[in-house]
Amino acid sequence: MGVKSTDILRAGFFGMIAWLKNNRWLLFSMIIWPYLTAFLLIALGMIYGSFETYKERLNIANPILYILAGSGIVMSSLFIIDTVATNALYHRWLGTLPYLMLTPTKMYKVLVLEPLPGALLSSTMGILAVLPGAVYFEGLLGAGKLLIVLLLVYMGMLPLIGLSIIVASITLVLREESNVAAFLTPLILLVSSVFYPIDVLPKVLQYMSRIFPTSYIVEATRMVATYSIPEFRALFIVAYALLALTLFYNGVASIALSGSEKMVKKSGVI
Amino acid sequence: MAPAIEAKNLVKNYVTWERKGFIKRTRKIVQALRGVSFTVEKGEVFGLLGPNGAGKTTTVKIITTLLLPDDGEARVLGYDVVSEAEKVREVIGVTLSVEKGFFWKLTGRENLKYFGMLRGLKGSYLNERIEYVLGLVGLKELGAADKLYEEYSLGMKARLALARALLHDPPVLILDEPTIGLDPASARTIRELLVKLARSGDKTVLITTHNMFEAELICDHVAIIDKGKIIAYGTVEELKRKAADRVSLELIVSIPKNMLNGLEEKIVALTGLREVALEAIESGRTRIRIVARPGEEEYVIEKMLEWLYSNNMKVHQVRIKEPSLEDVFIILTKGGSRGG
Amino acid sequence: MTKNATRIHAIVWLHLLRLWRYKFSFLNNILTIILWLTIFVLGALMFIPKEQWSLMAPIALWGIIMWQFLSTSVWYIGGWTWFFVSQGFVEEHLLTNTSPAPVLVGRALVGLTITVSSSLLVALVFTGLTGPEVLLVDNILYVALGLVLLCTMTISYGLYLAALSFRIGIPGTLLDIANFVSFILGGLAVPLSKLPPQLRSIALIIPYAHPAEIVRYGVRGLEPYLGLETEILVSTIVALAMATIAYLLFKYILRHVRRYGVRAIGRM
Repeated sequence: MGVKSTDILRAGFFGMIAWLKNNRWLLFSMIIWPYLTAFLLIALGMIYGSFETYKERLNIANPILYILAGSGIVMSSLFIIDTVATNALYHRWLGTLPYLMLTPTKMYKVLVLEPLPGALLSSTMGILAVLPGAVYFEGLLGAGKLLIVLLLVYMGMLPLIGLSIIVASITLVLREESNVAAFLTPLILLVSSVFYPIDVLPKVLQYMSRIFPTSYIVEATRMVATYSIPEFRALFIVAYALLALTLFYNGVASIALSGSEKMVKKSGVI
Repeated sequence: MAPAIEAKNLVKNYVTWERKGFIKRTRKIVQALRGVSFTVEKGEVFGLLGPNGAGKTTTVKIITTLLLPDDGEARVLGYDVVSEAEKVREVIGVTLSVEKGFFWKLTGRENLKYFGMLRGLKGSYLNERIEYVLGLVGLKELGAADKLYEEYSLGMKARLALARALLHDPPVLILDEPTIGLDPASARTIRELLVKLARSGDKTVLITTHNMFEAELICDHVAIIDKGKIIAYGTVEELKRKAADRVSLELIVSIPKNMLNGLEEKIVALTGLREVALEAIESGRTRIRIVARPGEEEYVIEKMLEWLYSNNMKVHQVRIKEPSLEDVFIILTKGGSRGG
Repeated sequence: MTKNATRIHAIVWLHLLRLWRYKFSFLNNILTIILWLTIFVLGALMFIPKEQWSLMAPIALWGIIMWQFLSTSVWYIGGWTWFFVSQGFVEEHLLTNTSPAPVLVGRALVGLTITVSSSLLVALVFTGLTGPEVLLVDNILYVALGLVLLCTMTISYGLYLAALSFRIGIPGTLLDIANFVSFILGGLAVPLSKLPPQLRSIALIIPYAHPAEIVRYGVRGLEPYLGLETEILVSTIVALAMATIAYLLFKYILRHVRRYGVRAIGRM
């Protein structure tokens, strides 16, 4: 008889609450980061150039709200990948990885479910943090649009978790001091073209963007920011793309993880 | 001639903060040392024994100049640990933790080279010393000298820690629990090496441990520290005499399960002795330990056997034990564990 | 060689060897930095009409390079302290009569290698976007002088953080925020003359703004806000003062460590 998924989720939830209770700065950081990145970009942009140029280049109605939402997406994606991908490495540093592996169930289930409450909370905070900004600029409509973005982030979380597990599998096999695949997060965000139109990127990166879930979230967010009423048909296409990526990444991830589990058990580096 | 190590009335308090609720924290003073004094003569192996949290590591840190005492003084080969810290560091070799203090991605040899260079050793002398200590602690023999530290077993890590302590050929070795967690073979290698170094006459060794067997085996003198105070000091034999007013009786018995309940109280009532302990051992047998006063042992054994046979219990073994250092330790520290 | 020279040799050897042994982390760090910077640079360029890109590009590029000096000092010196303390290295170095300060300063070597490597790649990205002129420099001596002064300041700052982490927990987020804010308010990204007056008065009291003005003078001959001589004088005095404070702070903190013991608090 294996452990139930809800038990692992409950343990993950408890761990997250205890961690937050003792590291209150983390909560603050989740709220402040989207504003900070937005501030940096806007301040730099305003000093170097003008908002009008930005509006024209990206063809969006409200650049401030768009940049805020974009920062929310950047932070949420970063939190998700970081929480799930770094989790295994973090447990190895702490020496708790063997105990996670001893949970009487599949390792894949443990590594996905244990950090899930943390990933959910941090990504929600990343988006909800910009809610006051959205309400300030566009009132209730702004809040509604942001909730659609949050929904998209949740949908995007599923393939991102699969991707993160692949990253975790790599870090478990390589014996380095930090997450050696950490560059994947900014790479994914770079090709997703959050703050600029995708055509400024070289063609090869444009093609690459199609395989990463954040590209679809950004695309949908841009639709939401461009049209006063989002075009639901287009949003459904995004949803299907994310579903396909979910199946693909989680399939690959389960194979990658079982491979790395074998290697780790063989070499004894846990 | 100055002793190798001399501690006089060392006092050390720590301030800790206890979390009460979400924000509030309260200040708490912990008295780690409350007037610790002892002397270690040159060429001897000295054991500082004590339960967890007794003040062993704090004492070691003061003697090794890493911590300043709030009061009292300590000297190593006549050098004051506070005002002549640099000179003290030159004459001591230290292991603080067998598992920390090395770079993971460097080999054992590279780690030694780094710490040797920091001590100003260089060139062929440094290389010779590295070769010598690697051989001395057995890392060369194990083929581990050029392995990355992260691949070391605990035993190898302990050997490397000792090699580092010996690298600059210091006259005094101060080792904080050097065999903790090691398998019997590795622990024995390290113990034998320490004795050899001390017996050769040019090294003085201070070790802290709560392994009584180890202390009994290698220490010339021991001090038992508890709750920040030295509560006993002398040779192992002298300390054992402190328990000479006690005789330990041990009976190995097969006891039916239904008789186990309340058995301790029954034996106390039967013998009139209060120190009785039961311990389940292999094959469903039970070890009964009774502490008696000298002269009482025959009477107690007779009484016990009579009672055990009358209740159809099988007696496998009866032993009268001389007091060991462990007995002394347990008597003096009232149990010997602080759970730390 | 004296004992101190042997010590410096040991520290340099240690950091370079570790850099090689952790090569994947090193490559990952460089890639991560470049990719994050490119995201923001591309975003910021969208505010500028394309025909003005070549004008603003050198300022942005050198702003990024200077910011990297700050960022790597914070993370590779200040941030590493947590590892250094928790692994018991403070005690092990003190036992060899070596202060932890030079060992931590030695980490600047790692930071510098990462800064130089990632700066070269960021420069490549800029070349691709705006053309090779972005790499041209008017006077290399002033650029070098500005960078040396900036380096002294940022290493001192890294040491402050390291010393503080022996006593208190420094939230990592706070360090990141300070880094971010320094990019604009510290006068690294933008010439002081271009900042709005209120922001400029803040930038003037942040040390990094002054060597940054010298660097920009060397790159494109942009007249420093306080005049070249004054900026050199101010930067030199501030850099020396910061280094002296770092030295004294470490002396104080080591006394504190001996009195109260080493507590691994560091970065939270």
